[in-house]
Amino acid sequence: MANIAVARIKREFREVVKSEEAAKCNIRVELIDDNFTELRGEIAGPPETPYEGGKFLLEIKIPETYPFNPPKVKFMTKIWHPNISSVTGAICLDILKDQWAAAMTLRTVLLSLQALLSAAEPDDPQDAVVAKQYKENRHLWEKTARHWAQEYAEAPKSKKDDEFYDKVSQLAEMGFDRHKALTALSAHEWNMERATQDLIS
Amino acid sequence: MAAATPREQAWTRQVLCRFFVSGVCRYGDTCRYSHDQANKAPPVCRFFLKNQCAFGDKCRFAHVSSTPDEPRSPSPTFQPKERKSSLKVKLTDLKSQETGGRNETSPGLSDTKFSWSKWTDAAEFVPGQPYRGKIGTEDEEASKVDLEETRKLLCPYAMMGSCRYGDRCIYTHGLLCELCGSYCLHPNDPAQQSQHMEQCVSDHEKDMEHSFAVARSKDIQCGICMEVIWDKTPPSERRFGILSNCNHPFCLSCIRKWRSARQFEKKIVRSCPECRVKSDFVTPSQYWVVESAEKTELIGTYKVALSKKPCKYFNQGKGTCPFGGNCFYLHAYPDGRKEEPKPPRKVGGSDGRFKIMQNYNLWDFFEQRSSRHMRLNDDDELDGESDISWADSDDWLDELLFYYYSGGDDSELSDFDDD
Repeated sequence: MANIAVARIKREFREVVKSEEAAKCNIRVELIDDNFTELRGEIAGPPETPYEGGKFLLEIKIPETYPFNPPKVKFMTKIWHPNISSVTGAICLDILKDQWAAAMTLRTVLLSLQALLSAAEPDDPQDAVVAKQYKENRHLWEKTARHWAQEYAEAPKSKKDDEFYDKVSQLAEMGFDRHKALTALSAHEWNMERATQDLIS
Repeated sequence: MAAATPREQAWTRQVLCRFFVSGVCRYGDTCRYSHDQANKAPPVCRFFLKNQCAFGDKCRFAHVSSTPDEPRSPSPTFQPKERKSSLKVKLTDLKSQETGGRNETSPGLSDTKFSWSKWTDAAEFVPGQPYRGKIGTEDEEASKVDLEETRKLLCPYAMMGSCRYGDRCIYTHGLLCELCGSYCLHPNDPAQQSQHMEQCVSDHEKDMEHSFAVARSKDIQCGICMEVIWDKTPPSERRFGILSNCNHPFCLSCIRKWRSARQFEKKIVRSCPECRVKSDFVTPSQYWVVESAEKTELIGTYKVALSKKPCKYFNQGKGTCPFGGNCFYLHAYPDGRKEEPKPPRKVGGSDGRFKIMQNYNLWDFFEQRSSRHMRLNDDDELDGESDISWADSDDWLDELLFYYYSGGDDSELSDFDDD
């Protein structure tokens, strides 16, 4: 890897570790290999969002040409968000694509992602199903997103969400994969019949 | 140093050229020294004197023992204490100055007349040959004038703080300049004094400016590689790339690399990576410059410097430069005539960028074919960056060809017509 990339990542790594946000447990990075080509990021779900209390893991790959090209980032934790694929975790965020600037850092990227969680852009979607739900039934989207955060991101559970758990459990008892059942239910407004049909087809 | 005066030439002509003697003089007939060995015996071989000459009879130098009246030292070093009166040596007489009066002469110099002004004209000492003192006499008047002139000159040793001759020095010892700390004010020349003071003050101001610039620059970090720019290795990397429209520091190589990135839109890479303010060009600088007056001056100097360099794309009229008369580099024909400045034509490309169209005559065909995808725009996308590469023009051609061969499907382009 190019010298400049390694030197910069080392510096940025220290920057994140020492940052205020890290002290408040909002963002975190750790190394995966010694070459600084792959890192693991973690962001906290922002308060007053369905993701509150959740911990979202990110896969960060540093290209050879960093910082002249953006790092490749995707969500490892499954998430229900209009700009993040619920299947692959791919992120649709301009700064990670054509709006990248060489002066951006791991810290600014992680903070941008956190901001993306609190302010979705449904008109520039990555996941069309989620974006449609976000625009048409905002309340249901919020409940679904919260449920996903509780299921996958260790967000705290509350009593009133039991309805969704029951539905997922019912489908799981029928022999369907739990994650597939959850995805089908989420995509079909938690309608058991349509979700089952989707799973069978 | 001025050219040799006839007088100087006269005496050098009397000294045998030591290169000629060795057969290697490259000046030939134009040599300032004598190439005439006829009336001078060839120099005695110093190796023969030590019984060490490897050439024997074939040696170019004379194999004769020294005559009694011309004793030679076997070693080429000059030994003043063994001087003989027959040697006609006229020494520089630093020795006589050391020992006190100018009338006191050492025993070896009893038959030479000492002159204060002549020592700089002393003949050259050639190792292995007897020291040939200056031959011929000089005009007494001339030497007096010389002496007067010499007395007026400032002593360079005293200027630096120590002249070993003190009050007895033939040169004038200057007064102390408190700004520069050297004894360089001529006591009898007020004009020289004020001139020197002016020079000193302006030097001092320059020094101050320089140290401010250093203090300002030394800890500045590049926003891209994030290293302290003056700590980068190799030292050639320690240069700032100053953006014209914002004040974010980058090292020259980083910002140039960013601005030449092909994977992003021009709009993105022409903008500052920190604040996204667009700058049309980058100015190299050794120091970090923020203040606007200083920055304007720097950019002005840079443009002036570039405008003297011939543009390699214009190539004295043989080539074509897409920037035409607006190019930062010199567009001059071989006869010195400059190209008329005219605004380059621009078109909006299919990707929303604006390309400069001037002089692309060969491509007019493609232009016509694709003209409905394009529109003229008055936005200025001129970039005079020195390291710009024209690889972009090829991209542009590719795009046109693509649309030509794909049947000119303009569904992808239609939104450019109404924005």
